[in-house]
Amino acid sequence: MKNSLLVLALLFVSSFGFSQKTAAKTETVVIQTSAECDECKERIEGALNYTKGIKFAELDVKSRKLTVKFKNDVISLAEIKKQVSQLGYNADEVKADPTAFEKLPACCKPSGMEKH
Amino acid sequence: MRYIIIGFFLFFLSYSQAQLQGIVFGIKNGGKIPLKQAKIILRKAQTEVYTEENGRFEMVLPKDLPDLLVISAPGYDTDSIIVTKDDRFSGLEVFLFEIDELDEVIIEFKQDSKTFSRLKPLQVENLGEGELKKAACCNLSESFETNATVDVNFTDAVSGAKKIQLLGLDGVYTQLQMENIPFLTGLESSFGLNSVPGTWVESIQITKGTGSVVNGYESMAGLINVEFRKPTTMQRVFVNGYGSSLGRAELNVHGGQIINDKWSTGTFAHVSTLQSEWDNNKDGFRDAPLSKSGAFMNRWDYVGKKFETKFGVNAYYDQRLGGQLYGAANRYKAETTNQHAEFFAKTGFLFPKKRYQSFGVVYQFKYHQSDGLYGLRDFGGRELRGYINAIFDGIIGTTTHKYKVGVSAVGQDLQQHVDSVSFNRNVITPGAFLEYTYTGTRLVLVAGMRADYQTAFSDQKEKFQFSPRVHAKYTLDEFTDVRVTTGKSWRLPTIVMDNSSLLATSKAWIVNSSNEQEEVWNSGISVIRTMRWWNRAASISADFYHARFTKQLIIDREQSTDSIFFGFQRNVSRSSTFQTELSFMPWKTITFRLAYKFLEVKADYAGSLRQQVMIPQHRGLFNVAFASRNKKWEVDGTISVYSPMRLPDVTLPDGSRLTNEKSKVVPVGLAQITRHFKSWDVYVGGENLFNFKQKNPIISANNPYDPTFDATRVWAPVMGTVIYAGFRYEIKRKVEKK
Repeated sequence: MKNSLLVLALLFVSSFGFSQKTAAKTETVVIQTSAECDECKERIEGALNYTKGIKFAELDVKSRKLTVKFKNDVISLAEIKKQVSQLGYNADEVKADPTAFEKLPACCKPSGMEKH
Repeated sequence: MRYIIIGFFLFFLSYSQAQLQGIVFGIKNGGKIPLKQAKIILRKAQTEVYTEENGRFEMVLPKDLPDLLVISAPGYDTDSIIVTKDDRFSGLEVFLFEIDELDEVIIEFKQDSKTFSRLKPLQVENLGEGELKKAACCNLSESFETNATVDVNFTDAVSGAKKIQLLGLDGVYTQLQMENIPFLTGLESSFGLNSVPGTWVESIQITKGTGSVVNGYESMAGLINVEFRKPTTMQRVFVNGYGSSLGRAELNVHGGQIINDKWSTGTFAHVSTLQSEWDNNKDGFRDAPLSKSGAFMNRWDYVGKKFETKFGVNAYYDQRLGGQLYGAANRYKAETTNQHAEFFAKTGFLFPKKRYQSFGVVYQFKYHQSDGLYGLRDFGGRELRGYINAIFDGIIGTTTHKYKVGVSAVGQDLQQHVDSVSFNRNVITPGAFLEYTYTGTRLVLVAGMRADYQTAFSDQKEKFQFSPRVHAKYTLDEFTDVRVTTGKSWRLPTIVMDNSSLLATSKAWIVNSSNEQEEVWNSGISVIRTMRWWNRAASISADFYHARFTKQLIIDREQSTDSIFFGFQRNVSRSSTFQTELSFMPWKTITFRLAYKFLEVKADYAGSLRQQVMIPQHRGLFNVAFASRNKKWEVDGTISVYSPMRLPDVTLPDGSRLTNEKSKVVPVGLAQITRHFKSWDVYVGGENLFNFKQKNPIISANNPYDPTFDATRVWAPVMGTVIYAGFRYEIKRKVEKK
């Protein structure tokens, strides 16, 4: 229902040719994280996908880029980054929460795989 | 540094930049394999690269040298090496050793739940957890319904049991293993898969062809290895409930505990029941038998520095009551009961200073009892079986040349009877084997030989049975692997229990001889190519296998309409199969899988070489899987189409005969929708969605004691569409901080 309203709203805006930018309700962003492995992928996606306002969160382990589609009236980008940080990972400029980082398994820490 | 072997070799360089190239190999049971996605980090410079599919990597070296290069890959011990200025423009060969030498690391691509292993010299198809969840009901034989390699067949219209087939050959020709321990052998080889709950299973590997000699002499069509959930990685608590529109209810519970850094344990339980009678086709017979079953397993793992062991117990009870509905006068009953208890163990001795060596021993002891009744015919069996297999792994000079050598022994006390005729055997089969593996950059070659001393039959000439086998894999290019295999296998037939479903008829069994073993030469070639379509994983495969029996116990249902003949044929019977499969992801969220299979299974029936009855010549499979990007929704649908199959001739109660009949084209549809929540999954699904049924599966159903009664001429589902729903609840084990 919300989606169709959004489409209607957009149609309305575009058909009247307003040059003024209206804040889109659904946004997709790419966040650079410090995730290392598939375990991190599971942790980050597992937490974010069940967070209110987030449509989906996908992590590409190789590039460490996290793609998040979310409704910006429910959750803000800053809140998402904060959540990633609280899971123990850097999110762009927001550094990982040190306590959460400490609790991560060895394989999830940057170049931590050799500390066996 | 202790565990690293570094070979420096010069690459022909096309770059003038200070660059480091190399290749990363993993050392595990089968030899060295190039590791893809291994992580290479230059410590000080903080540069990081990953190896490609073929294990190769390239890295630009900074000016500031020396630096520490750290190489790591999941499942392998991490290693490091100091890189100096002298190493610029040179090539590195890095070997990583597997963390747990006993366990085989199953490499799975996350994108697809069903994969072909690119690393093994044999054609191995891996069904991961995702694939197993696609058909939520219920046991292992049914979990192959979304798979094209293994066919699930109908046996008879009264017992409700399903049977698998590989390469068009009956399931008894497929060797079954549980984590490389023999599984469902002897009396159970025909219907044992019905007793394994699907939720206990972590993954399944299907190997076509004879397989490794280390595993034994029995894999005639192929080998199916089942990996149960491991104590250290399984859920702490898992509960699965299931109910179907038939009234079948099922409960599966399991959980793992880590006791300390050495000990861990896992416990599994299953109960299921169906207590409502269904007779939709109004023939007076239950379309599905009433059933009651329970299964339990408890397993333990111990991991030490020099010694590892896993052991456990497994028991089940299964009762199926089919036949005529309650209230019928002189009711025809089709009842089977199976009781089973088993102890299994696997121990491994490691040599911490020689990581490429290991010594392992596998033990198994089982007791099995089957009791059955089809109308007036009574059958059953009891089996005691002991097994031991000791394997030593070593290398010749370098890990390029590896070998396995060992001895095994099987002791079997097997009794079986049908009415008053019994077929018993008490045998001890000692054996020895040797297998050599060459691992080159492109070629992997495995040559093995085993000899078993087999004296089951007093009149046999050869006491030693030799099983030579050769397998090779050649990597044509980065994306394409070609495999060839040939080898010999043999088994002792268990005539009554292998064919018990053929007792659901009034036809007499005429057994000409059963005191021989069955032997086959099985050869095959396969090509697998992985591709990237729309930047997503895709693969295409094609294979051809030819199995030629030097001796086979043939069941001839064509000589006459009132008897079934059992007799040995030499150098006549054969099976040829061609299978091709294409899998791709046209969208990020959707995977398509298309498969086609051609089956030609021939033997001498009534004097001429003919396709075996009840085997469709063509089979097609189409599977579509959808997973939403947030992984909350999963939808899976499968359509299988079977071409007409030859049916045995029959005489009807009115005296007329049906000859040279063929079945219709059989379409089978399955679908399931799953919704994931944080610790819950809920699913709804349907089986036989086209509601395709065989109209009169039982001949002379209104008079089951008539000489024309026959419930074995079944070629399509007896039951119409079945809808089911279920849930899974789990508390996952988080990867521990180390």
